[in-house]
Amino acid sequence: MNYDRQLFSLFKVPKQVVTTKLKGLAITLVFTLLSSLSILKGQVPKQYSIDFKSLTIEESVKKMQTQLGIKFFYDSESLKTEKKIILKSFNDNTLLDILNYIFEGTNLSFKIVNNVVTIALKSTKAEKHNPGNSPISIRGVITDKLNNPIEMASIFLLDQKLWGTSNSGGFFNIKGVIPGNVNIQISCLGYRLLDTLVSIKGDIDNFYFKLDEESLKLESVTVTAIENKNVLNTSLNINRQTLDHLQVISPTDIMSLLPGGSTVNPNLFFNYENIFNIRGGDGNGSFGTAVEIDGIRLSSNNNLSTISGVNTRFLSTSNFESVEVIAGVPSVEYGDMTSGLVRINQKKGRTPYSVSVSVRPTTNQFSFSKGFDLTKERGILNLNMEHTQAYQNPVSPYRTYIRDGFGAIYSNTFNREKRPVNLSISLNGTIGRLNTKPDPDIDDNTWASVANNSVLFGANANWLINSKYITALDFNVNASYTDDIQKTYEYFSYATTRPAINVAESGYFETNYIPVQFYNLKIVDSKGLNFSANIKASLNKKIGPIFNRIKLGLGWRSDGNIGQGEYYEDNLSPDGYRPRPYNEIPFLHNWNSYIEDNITIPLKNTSLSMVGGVRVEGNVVKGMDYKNVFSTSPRFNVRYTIVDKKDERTSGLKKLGIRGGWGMMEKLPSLSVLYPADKYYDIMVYSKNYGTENKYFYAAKTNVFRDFFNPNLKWSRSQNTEIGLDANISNINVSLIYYKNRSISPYTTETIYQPYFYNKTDENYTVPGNPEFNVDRETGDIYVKDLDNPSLGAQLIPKSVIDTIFIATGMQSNGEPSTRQGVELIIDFGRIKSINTSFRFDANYSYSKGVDTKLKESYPSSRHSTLPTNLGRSYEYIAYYLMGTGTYQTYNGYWKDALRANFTTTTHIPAIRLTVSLRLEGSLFTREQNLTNYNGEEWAFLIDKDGNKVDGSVYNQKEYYTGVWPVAYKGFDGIIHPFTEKEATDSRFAPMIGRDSNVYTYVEDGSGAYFMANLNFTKEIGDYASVSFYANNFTKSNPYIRSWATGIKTARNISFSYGATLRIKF
Amino acid sequence: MKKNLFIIISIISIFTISSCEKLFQNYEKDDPYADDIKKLNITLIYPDGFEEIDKSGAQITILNPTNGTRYSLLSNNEGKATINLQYGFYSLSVTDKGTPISGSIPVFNRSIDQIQIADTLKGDLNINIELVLSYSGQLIIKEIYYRGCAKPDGKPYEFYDKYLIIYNNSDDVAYLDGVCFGVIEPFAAPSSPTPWSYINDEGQRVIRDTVPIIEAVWQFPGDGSSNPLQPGEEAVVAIAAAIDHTILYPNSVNLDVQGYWVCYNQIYTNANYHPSPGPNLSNHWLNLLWKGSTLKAYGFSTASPAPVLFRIPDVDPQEYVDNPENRSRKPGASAATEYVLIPSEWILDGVECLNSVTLNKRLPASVDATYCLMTDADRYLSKTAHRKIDSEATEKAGGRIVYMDTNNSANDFYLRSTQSIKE
Repeated sequence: MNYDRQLFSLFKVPKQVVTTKLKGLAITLVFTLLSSLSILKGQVPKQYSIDFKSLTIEESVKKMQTQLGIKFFYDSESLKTEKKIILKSFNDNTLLDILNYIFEGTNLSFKIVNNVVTIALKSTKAEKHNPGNSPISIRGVITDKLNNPIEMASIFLLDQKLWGTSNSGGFFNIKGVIPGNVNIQISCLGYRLLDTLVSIKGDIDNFYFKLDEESLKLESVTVTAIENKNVLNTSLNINRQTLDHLQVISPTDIMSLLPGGSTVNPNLFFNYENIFNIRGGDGNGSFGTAVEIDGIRLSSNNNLSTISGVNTRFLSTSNFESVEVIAGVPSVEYGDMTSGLVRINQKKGRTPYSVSVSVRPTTNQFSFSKGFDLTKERGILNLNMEHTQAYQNPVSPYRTYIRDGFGAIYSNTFNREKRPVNLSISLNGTIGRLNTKPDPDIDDNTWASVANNSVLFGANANWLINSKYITALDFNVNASYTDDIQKTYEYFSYATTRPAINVAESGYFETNYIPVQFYNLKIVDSKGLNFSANIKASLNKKIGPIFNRIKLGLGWRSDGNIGQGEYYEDNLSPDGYRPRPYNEIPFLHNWNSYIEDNITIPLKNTSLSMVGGVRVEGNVVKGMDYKNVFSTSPRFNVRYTIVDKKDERTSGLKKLGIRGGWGMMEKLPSLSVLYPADKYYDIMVYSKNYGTENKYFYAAKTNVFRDFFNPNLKWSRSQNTEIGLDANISNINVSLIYYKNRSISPYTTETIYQPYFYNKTDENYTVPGNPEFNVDRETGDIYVKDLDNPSLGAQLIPKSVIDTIFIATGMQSNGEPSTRQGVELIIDFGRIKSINTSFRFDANYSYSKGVDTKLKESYPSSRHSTLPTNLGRSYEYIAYYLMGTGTYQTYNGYWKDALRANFTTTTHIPAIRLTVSLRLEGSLFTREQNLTNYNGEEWAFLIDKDGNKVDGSVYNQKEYYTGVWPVAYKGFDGIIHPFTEKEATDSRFAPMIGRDSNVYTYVEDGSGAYFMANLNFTKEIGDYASVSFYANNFTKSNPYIRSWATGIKTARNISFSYGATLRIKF
Repeated sequence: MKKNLFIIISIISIFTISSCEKLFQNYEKDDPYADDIKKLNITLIYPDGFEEIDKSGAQITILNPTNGTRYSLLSNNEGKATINLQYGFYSLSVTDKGTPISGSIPVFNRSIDQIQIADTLKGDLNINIELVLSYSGQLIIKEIYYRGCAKPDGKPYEFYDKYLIIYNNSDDVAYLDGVCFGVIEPFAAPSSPTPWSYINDEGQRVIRDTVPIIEAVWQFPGDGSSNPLQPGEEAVVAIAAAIDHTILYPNSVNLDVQGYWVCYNQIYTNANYHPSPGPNLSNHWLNLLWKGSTLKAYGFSTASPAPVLFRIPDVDPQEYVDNPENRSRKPGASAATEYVLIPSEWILDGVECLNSVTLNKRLPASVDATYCLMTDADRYLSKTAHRKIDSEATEKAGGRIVYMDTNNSANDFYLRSTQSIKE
């Protein structure tokens, strides 16, 4: 058939094509041959002709630039110091000859590197090893790959904390450098970070650094957390490339990159997610993890209702440049935290216009940013804008969280030549709102809305003074304002008028009345205001071979709220409401100071680094009862590098170091702990329906009280210890850390019950149809007068109940200590060039244990133990249980551990600008068990299903349940008696005996291994666009894993989710 | 061509004939579904002393809960009945009445929640049903109003205007003094079998004969003869708010009437669900004999309550409820909440109300063999569960209304369109 022939004919090449092709091939070959010959022979140096007619050196150089097109780099000042005049003509001379002639006999030397000539002053001091410790300067030039100078690049000497900024010619100058091995880091927004180690013995004039533009064209790429090697505690850095690859929308997304971290699908919609928690937190959970953005500390200390970490959902993640996670024993510069710190840096630097769009099932984000170069060394202005929408349910748009962020950051370095001052001022604003409209198909007028708006302002100035007594001085001022308004419009409807108890004094009073049907608008207005100012001074000194850096700091911080608090429109306050405007609560002030010394002792081939310091800080609140509210936290870290072979070997032990740290961290109490506030206990004592129209009279007794003052309250302290090992074996980097965080005195609220006396008036007593009531505030006597027959006078209505009840008062106190330990392992196999893939393995084993033997008071829910129910009397005993136990829980302790491991393979193909990373996450096992312990023995006991005691250990539970007694009890007389066998058989105490409902309370529970995999993909399309795509749990691995104790299987792993981001630069 | 046609035609005809054969076969049988049906043979076994009574006419009701199909049979004079059923799960209930003995009528009841007719069963399924004896007494629950009505704006009004009516169904004076009232645990009917049940020797799930009362035991006050109820007289008990609801909500009822009773005690301070009763109800508060928790409101489900009236004979009622041996925690639960256990012989009357056929019962068959169904479709329409009139007995009583009381609410109750006290 015809088709066959046509198909085969495609493989036949027509004759004419063949001939042309051969010709072309031949020409190419010849050309290559010729050029390679020339290379083999050695490059023929170019020859130039130029005339210099009485020109200074600087003028001569300029002429060479314009006439010959040769690129030069030099410092005008240095050239001006030479008075030599050039008067010569050159004809077909090499560049080398011309330059040699110009600079002969001068104090200047030149170097030709990659067709660029660098001119610098010859060092006047001997170039031999300078054993002196007098400071020297280093100078150099920063350019890009095409030799264009880069302005506002930061050159940072990590150990000595010195820095410089390049000027419009790319030229930088750093003075006061102490000779030795110096780790230099050069960074500029949009370029790959350059990190190099240089041995500096004397003045250096001709450093020459070329930065690569950041893109996937480069050989290597980073999509995981990188360990920060220049601090001695555990610190991981996550750069923008990683944030882009992972497509971070909520700041807490990065927690999955920590060793053994697990991916979650956070939703910005939910207020309780998006809170950081490092290493499992401490006794107070996430409260101990601090968050800072551009030096502005975000705080939840002035939160009056709960103790929890700060919610980060309002931050514009598209503008993050890098995130640093600091754990272990950090520098004393950081305070008011117990488990760790997350530092976020926003983009500062020149950038093209950037637009990005991110889409995922429940969230959409659009962002726009640009870094404007104000030229003529006037600095850089970064502007950014972001719009994010998060839905609770992708199908229904009625519940949405919308966040609009704006930011402007100005950064510049002044006085770059002498004593540079780096200034950056940032202003960020967020407008967020949460709308929950009911489905319009329900005919309901109610609605709820939440608006969170915030403004963050920060100004940082770093001044490199380099004088004898101060090396650098840092100033920081920041302020933030968070405006939260929650409005709820609801409809209420009842059978009768109801009472609302709103009095703020103790005694018996008539109540307020709420109508039968009404709409009410509730508004909660919170306006948080934070302000802080910090100053830090540091001094670098070299004493003998020992490098020493001392740091001193002082700071002040205020947190408060100027909102109105909770209030109701139309003054329709519900039962129990008492106005508590937030602006009447005093501001919380915190002062801090610290001193730290960082010593590096070079040993023969290695080094020993130590850092030690102490931080003293305190809290001040007007009207607080705590007098001495300051804390002292000493911290200490050491690193000993045992092996450090700097040669190029690729096998064997290249580097080995051990490090360790110990320190105290303290979390200062929040306002809810320090500032006492009035609390209220109300009891209805009389309610009477009179007349024929459902008219009511209500009276209630109110008790106004405050939490007890606890003079023994300690601040929440944590003792953190770390021991680790870093090694490089055959180019495989291994890092192994053991940490132990002991939370010593977490904050908790104790409850203390006290007897409270009240009486109720008999509602069965007939009152006239048109009555007037009078309540005696002290005695609770209620008199009723008949308004139709006033002559009869006031009748005292008899009492129906005379009772004593226990009511609860709180006291701020400390909970029992608990320990969290763990081991973190990171093995970086590095990049296998032949397959363009790098491998990384990280794992985390964590163990925690706590047993609480504090006693807590509890009021069993029962009526009087002996008197008839009709009398309405209350139970007359308080039970003291071991913390954790109660009427339905018999354990007061636990231990748990877990092992998680992740394996990431990253394939990066520079030629097609593609990065694909596959991450296998596994939870290898988790185990936990409940514990019962009091005075060294098991406190809980076995019972059968009818409640009869059975002999045996609870840890051998079999088919039995467990029960628990209270430890003691007290009556209205306040005398505490131990709870013994006698009470256990007495029916009056029966409501106190606790019992649980399952036969596996003390069985070791846990589950086996389950895995999931994430796929991330980033591709650059040309120089202007890049696309990222991710699929979390793309194999939809949700295996049903059996719990060892109960046998119940539950599905594990997050649900499958995916998303994509498109970024465009122009 | 011709060869092909011949082959095709023969293939088609073979197929047709073989399927037709099956059709023919089916036509020959009476029943096209014969293979899926099993025969259920029921034998009724009467309690001691009643073996010789007339066993015919016992009403047997079989319900398929998955599709709601109901079958009604009558037993023959040997106490047997037969029915053909498709395989599946069924629930079964039996009611029979005997001749009156000294003022009370013996009633025989039994209900089984689950009978399985398996498709693997060979032959017939034979079951023996042992009937339980109970007596229908003087005081009965005549009406329960708990599903609410509509407000003038159409929105639902419920929770506040619940009531039930106690009626003297006998021809002697009855005394309310000492009569106790409560509801059975859980407040609303459970979706899985109640934990207060067990599997008996024949593999059937049976509810215990001792029933748990939840939250409170109310008792009518009096010294024994202070609160008489004449034959044909009734007492209305307001369970939540004993006020005149009709002032604001005309579709509701006026419970602030002289002579009505109310479940109110100053311990229940929830002014929402327990506003103080109207002036006409003074001294008509029920005594609170026992309260199981510190809840501020007394719960009575507006979907599926199971109220009971009972006496505590022979022993002082207060002592009885205070004795911990008469109370127990829920089997398999950790909560410390206790329930008072009442033997079903002490129950004067109880009604199992459900709002869906898939829910499980709480009352044993001797108290209520089946249930009264008021689904969510009948909510907020002022409907009540009301007893049917027993026309035979009313005639015998010479015109005094006697209500049906066979301890089987599917037979005894109907849904009344409005509250009876509104007339």
